[in-house]
Amino acid sequence: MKLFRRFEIYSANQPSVIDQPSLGTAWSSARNMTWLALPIAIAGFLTFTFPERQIFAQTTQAAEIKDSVDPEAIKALDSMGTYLRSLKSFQVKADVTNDDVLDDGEIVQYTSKVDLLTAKPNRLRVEVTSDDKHRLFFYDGKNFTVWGKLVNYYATVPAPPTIDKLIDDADKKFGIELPLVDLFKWGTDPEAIKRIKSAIDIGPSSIDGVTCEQYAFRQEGIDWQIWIQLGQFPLPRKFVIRSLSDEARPQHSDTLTWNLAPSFDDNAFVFDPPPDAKRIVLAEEKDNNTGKDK
Amino acid sequence: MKRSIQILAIVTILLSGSTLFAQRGGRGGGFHGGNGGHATRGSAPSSVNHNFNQNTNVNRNVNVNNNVNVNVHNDYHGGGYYGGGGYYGGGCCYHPVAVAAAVTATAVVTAAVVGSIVHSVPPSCTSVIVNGLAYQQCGSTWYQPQFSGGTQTYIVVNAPK
Repeated sequence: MKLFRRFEIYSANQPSVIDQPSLGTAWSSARNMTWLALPIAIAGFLTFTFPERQIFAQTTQAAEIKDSVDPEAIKALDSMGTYLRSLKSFQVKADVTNDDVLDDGEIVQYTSKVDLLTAKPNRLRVEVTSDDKHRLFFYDGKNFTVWGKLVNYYATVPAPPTIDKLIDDADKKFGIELPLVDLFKWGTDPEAIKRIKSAIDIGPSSIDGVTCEQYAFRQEGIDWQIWIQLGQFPLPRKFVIRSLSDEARPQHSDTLTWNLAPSFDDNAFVFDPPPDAKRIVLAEEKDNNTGKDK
Repeated sequence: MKRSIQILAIVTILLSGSTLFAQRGGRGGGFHGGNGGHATRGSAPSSVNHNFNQNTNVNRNVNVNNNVNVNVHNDYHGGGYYGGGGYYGGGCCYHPVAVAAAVTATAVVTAAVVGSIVHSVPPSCTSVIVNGLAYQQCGSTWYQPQFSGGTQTYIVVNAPK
């Protein structure tokens, strides 16, 4: 079903493909024979110069040869980032799929749900429900707590003063990837935009009945797409990230439902342990570069 | 011809349905999420803006797998422990590779090494609180539950004072 939808999107956008040969998809290439000669020559040069890219030469040909960054796509990201940062508080729920890659390259997809509530700059509550885990993360500007509801263990550590720093700390110090961190990161790091090597506007696309504009980006190691709501409120409604660093190309996707006027009180961000919950420790990440099991 | 295709399709659906059911049932809260005991080489990144170190995660999984195979399976797997296993969030043992490793390994019962990490503890352990922190005591071996990245594991520690 999805496949068909994809095809419809591409079909619907054929005219713009012709208008902008820089899009460089397989479809457009077939229709733009004259544009092929130069790309092939450059692709040959690249393949020769960067032999390690040979495997991907075919699939990434278009991106390698035509630095096709559509400024409108970048602008859309900027506007979205600016808008997200203007929100003082919000609640967002996400339907998440994530691929794991087994040792033999087989892809296994897991689904989970995320319920995130934030009051910026220093309060965050995230609930993650998956098949075998039910985790809650509490951050009140002072402490960061992880509570495994099923195992009924919790761990609390002192936390940095802002959500931004908390996100970094959780990852670097504790190896915890908080979900949906991009919602806080977009537009905060000018370097992030520079990493984008290809940016294209795919066209209008509906997510849960909301009309969005779909964009596709390529950068080192990942291809990603985002669906940004059209109109006054440029909210991300969906995003998809595909890893290129593993040849199995595992994919992650989030489909978002927004509440821009959540009701909550300060207690929402403070963990009050149930009487039978037991406190445990949050393991600090060791320097894995020296691990002998590497 | 058409009918045989229909029958084949139905049989296929039935078979795949039962297979899915069997796997889910057998998994019993098992290997995914923490990837414990399951040979996973990586996962999709969840962020485009944050430079998560994918390799670190992979290494962590490898470490966990090794330890689980050495310290848990050999000691406890043979005793029929774990079948239902859904309780300990990290789960561990469904995957056939892990089972094979447990079966073929020599059945030497060794004391758990301090610092080694496992996804679950033997059922005979008792929960003990020392200085406000939870431990699992199993004879002379002490396991300290911890959140390690996205997974809840147990690290073998010296007896707490």
